[in-house]
Amino acid sequence: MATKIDIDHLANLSALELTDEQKAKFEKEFEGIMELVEKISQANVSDEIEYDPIDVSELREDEVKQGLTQEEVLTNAPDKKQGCFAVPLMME
Amino acid sequence: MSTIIELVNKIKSRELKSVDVVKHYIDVINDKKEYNAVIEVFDDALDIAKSIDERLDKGEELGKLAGVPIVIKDNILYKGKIAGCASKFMQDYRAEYNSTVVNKLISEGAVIIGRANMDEFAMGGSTEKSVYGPCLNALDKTRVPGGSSGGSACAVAGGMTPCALGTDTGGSIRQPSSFNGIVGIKPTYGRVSRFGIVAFASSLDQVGPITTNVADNAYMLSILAGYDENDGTSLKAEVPNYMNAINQDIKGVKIGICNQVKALMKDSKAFDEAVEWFKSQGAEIINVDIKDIELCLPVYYILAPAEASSNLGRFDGVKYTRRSKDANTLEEIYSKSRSEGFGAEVQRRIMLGNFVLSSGYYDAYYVKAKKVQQAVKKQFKEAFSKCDCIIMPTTLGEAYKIGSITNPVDMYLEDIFTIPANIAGIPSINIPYAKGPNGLPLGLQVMAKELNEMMVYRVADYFEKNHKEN
Repeated sequence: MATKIDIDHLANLSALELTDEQKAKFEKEFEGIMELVEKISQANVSDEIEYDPIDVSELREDEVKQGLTQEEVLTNAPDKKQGCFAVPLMME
Repeated sequence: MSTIIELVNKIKSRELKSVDVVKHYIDVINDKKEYNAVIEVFDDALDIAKSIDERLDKGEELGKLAGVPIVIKDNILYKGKIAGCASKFMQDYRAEYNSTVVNKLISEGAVIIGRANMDEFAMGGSTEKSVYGPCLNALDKTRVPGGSSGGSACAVAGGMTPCALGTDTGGSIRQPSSFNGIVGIKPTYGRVSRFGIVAFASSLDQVGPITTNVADNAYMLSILAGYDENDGTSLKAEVPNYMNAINQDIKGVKIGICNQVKALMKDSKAFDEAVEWFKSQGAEIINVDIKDIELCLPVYYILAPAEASSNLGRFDGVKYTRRSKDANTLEEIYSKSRSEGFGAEVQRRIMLGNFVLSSGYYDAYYVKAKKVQQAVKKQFKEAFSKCDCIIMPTTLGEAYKIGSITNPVDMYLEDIFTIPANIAGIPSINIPYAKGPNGLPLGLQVMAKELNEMMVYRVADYFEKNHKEN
């Protein structure tokens, strides 16, 4: 029995706004997708294999280097003011 | 059609002018507009070619690709040019800096002539899911070119460029190369810098060259590969001259056949013939087991969406060009911009990624998938202790008809033979090796252990030059 998907919750986590029609379509498609990914939750893995989320790639020394300028970073911003990304007022 | 190596030599000897070569390819692109493979020809390409000609005329040495035209996929940053990722979200985004691969091309004197169509954010296997509209197969206009680097592969196969760069997260270089009857490699993970490539699944993404033949491919990878301090996962290993793998024999090479893959093939006649042929050429055929190879597909559809859901979090309506006109609050800027900007496949994968990472499911899906990935890596390692390379088909069959696969899971299942190399992080090349029932190409993968691109090229080049199909 495949896990039931809460599409409203997932849309919320994903910062997506879905129409009822889209929700129904995704919900149906997720049934098939869940059947596929369930194979992993049911797979047998040797206890010797461990997963360490901290085992990341090698980090370089933290040193100051010239990156993009403030102007370059803002080139593609849809709205900018005084050298900053601009967004609507959040608090009164 | 000239090879890259021929073009390099002829431009260097001044038998050909770069500007004429570039003009030729731009003319082909314009003649073949209906294929929708190259979505923009860069307006400065001819001027760059002219200046390269002037400098070569003066006797300057300009590098290993002096004057040679190249097309890049729409998710590779080239300063000042649009890198749209075939997405409505990004279609006005202009790169503020060069990717490392673009810097390498430019420093060797290449002329980047345009950008290629793809599936939105490289999520897909057919180049049907693009804001620019679908790209067509170079050999049959009613069929898909594969994806996600479908535009790159169609451009090379259609004679629109001698080389294109693609990216491969689950087969996106090899599968379109197979569908268009050309050569494409996914190098070892970390072999080529990912700096300046719009990230999809960072632990799986690799850039690679797509070419008409194996020698050109080896020539290109010798240029593109190498350590980059801007990519934390880039490997420090020295880059060999891959051209040394060209024109070698394969006597005594141990070629592995994966028992579990044979069971998954729809029709193994062409593959069995290829195996017999390799045997007749003096290669030793070894049967190997990669017990969990079939699990690579579900592993991929957990890990890749998980990473994508995080990587695509940066597209928030604040930083990258697009903001919904209907958004009034900060929350609406996020949700409305993303809902309007992302296509259905991208939205589906972001939600799937958030599902497998969400509280209550993380251990059962994401952590478990990482563990199965470790098991698969171990199984490949064991297999490569018995053989020098493994061969398997690239796809289940020929390129399929446009619009014929509509169910996402059916589309995902098409990736069954390409995904294992991404999960294991190993190099894998596609070469055309047989024809399918409709006379369209079938591709063969040659894979080897981490950083052994030499073996991959050696076996692929030998097949290309000596097999009767070629």
